[in-house]
Order: sequence, then structure tokens, then C-alpha cells
Amino acid sequence: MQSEEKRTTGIKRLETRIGRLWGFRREEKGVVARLSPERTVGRLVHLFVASINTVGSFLREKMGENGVQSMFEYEGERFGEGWEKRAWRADDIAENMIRLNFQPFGVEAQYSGDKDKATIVVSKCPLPERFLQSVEFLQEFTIEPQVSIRGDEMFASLDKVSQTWDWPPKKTEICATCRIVMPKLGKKLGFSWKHHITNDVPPKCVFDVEITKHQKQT
Amino acid sequence: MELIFLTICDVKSGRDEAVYSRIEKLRGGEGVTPLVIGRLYEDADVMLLLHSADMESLDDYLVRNVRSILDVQELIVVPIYEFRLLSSFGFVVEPERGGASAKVLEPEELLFFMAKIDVAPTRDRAVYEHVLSIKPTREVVPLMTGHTFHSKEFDLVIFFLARSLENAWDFVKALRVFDGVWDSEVNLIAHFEGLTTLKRFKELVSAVSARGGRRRRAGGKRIAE
Repeated sequence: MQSEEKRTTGIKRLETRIGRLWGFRREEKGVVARLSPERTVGRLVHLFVASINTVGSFLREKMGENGVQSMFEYEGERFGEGWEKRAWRADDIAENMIRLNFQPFGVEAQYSGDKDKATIVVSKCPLPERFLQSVEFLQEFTIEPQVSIRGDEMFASLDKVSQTWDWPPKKTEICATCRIVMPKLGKKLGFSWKHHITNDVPPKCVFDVEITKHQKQT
Repeated sequence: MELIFLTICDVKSGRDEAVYSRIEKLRGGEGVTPLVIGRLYEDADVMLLLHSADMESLDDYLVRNVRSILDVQELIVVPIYEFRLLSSFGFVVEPERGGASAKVLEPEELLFFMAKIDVAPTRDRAVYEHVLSIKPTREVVPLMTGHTFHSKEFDLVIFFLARSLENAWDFVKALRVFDGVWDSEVNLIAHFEGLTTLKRFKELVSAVSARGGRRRRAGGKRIAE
């Protein structure tokens, strides 16, 4: 039985031996079995990343068009309603941004700074275009572990990665989505949120967070 | 008489992989068919389900193939009478061939448990019937059960799947309030594999069940009501 390399499902094992691993599949006609909680979370993240990439791609295409930017700035303003009186710290903002918004989606980043000024440096970001227009919207494939983001691909647009696999790509791009909502939100709450990219290949996103004068006086 | 035997091998500490590797290579012969191998979480013992129609053949087989393994320190063999696959056992499946195009089949990952129940004299039949009547739920799925020839420690064994440790405990707690259940011991089966095909397993167990049923009808007073 050792040589039988088969997959099994439904019954948890604490060892990874290969054998005749009977599984359990409770199937009733017309009733669709749920994904496990772990896979549900993974699936949601995957779909969210895909949709973010679609939005990012769209924004890059429309960069400079006021209508699109206004739409996201409006979102930023709405998020901030009622939070203007709170005393914000730049290092707290940076830490929470990484923990709550970056890490759940596989974005790796570190921050430095203090209560007045902090800097986030993103070292790995899977968002840019990697899953753009992915057929995963239509079918769950079982190759998720194989599509982990490689550092030398993460800022390359999908056409470059999938068609030529040239590195460095002729045109590197960065994701636009995280640059758009925060500045307007920060202005409303009392901090600045500035984004720039480094000259590294691939480039790294850097976010500078600074409490504004108004906020400091408060 | 065909029976299923539950065999628990106490393994010398540190020799777990070596012993498991040898036992999982067991093949049928000498009138004995190894059905399932598992590893018990609590004591790291190796559990075997065997089928045989002859006690002496089984003894020869175990002496030759299991007790000959130096690192198996102790062996407990318990015959299981009226071993039954419960209705939900029909959802147990053979492993699927892998591959990118394979349909994702994993609805949930259930834990596999073996509960050993100590039953009060005069209540064997009632407890057994009660276990047979338990319906599967989303959280707990009873798979198979049988009498264990009234050893000092346990009289009934039930294998079941549970979504979590908490669900398993709820299930056992509910069993423990049934009149006639004196005590219980639950083992998490950390790993298990079939040593024969699922089809063959079902055939052998069905034969045992049918024979047990006929026997009971012929002399129904063998087990206390």
C-alpha cells in the first residue's frame, strides 16, 4: 500500500504517511458539501485578492481620471466619519495597517518610527496583477500551493509573467489600490499617508505616515 | 466462526516508526486478513483490526508476524462479536487518484475516535441497541460497533468520527448517561490506513454481521437483555 500515492479527504490524520487512506464523503444528491473552515478562509482571501487586482488594474488604466479617484476618496471619507476626535499615533497606524490589512493577504512589511512619524516598507506584495482576471472565479483549482508569489515576480504584470517570464520585465508596475483610499481618510482623521516606491528591482512600496499638526495639537 | 479482532500493540518508546512500518506491511494469509491499521494518540499504541474464522490460525499469525517484532512489548487481542457497520459507514470512500483536474472532495476534516464502553451486567443488549440507534449528525458520525467479549475493561467498542474534540466529548458524555454504561475510555486515532480494499473490508464485516445475526436468532439469550 505504501506506493499508492492517492489523495484522501474527510478524515483528519496527524501523520502524513501515504497508504490506503480511506476517506469520508457525506454526499447527498443535490446537497453541496461545504469547504472546510480553513479552506473557506483561504478561498475568501483568494477571491478578495483577485478582485483587488482587478480594481488595481482598472485604476491604473484610468489613473488621472477624476471620477474614479473621487469614488475611492469618497469611500475614505465615509470610513473616517466619527473618528476625527481620536488621538492617532503614527506607529500604531503603521502596526495596525500591517497586522490587520497587509498580513491577512500575504503582504509582508515592516515598520519603524514613533508616535509622530512612521514608515512602512513592503517587502512582498502578492496583489499586483498576479491573479488578475483569474479563472479561479469560475473554478477552484487545487494548485494553490504552487501559485505562491515569488519575490521576483510580484511586481510584474501578468502578461509579462505568464507569457514571457522575462525578468526584470520591461515595464514594472505597482499596485495602485492601497495608495488611493488612505490619503483622503488620513486627511480627515489627522495624518498624512504618502506612498513612494524604491529603486530596487523589483521596487518596494514605502508608506510614510505622519501625524499632522492639527492632530498633534489635539 | 468468523470474527473481527481488535489488536492493540504496545510499542517500545522511540521505535514507533519502525514498528508501524513493519505492521502496515502485513498481508493476509494463514486464515487471517488484516483489515485496518491505526495509531492511537494517547499511548502511541498500534491498533489492528483483523478478520479470522479460526482462533488457532489467528494465534499462529500473531506469533509469527506481530509478536516476532522485537519492539512490540505487549499485545492485547480482543474478539469483537456482532461487529456492525453503521449506516454512515456507507460514506467511507477509497482514496481518489490525485491530479490537478481532480474534483475537490474535502467537505470537512473529521477526527477518528474509538470509544471503549464498560457496560453493566444485564444491560449489554440494551446498550448495544442504543448505540445502533444513534443517528449521525453534522458533528458526530458513528461508523461501526461491536461487543468485545466482556473483558474486565470494556464490553463494547464504537468507532466514530467527530468534527472536533468538543463534539467527541459531547457524544461520549451523552453515551455515559445511558442506563447501563458504567465507564468509558476514548482514544483518538491519530492515523489509520486500510490494509485491504474497502470493498473487501465491507464484505468480510458483512459476513461476520450476518453470521452473528443468525446466531443470535438461534440462541438469543447468549447476551444479557
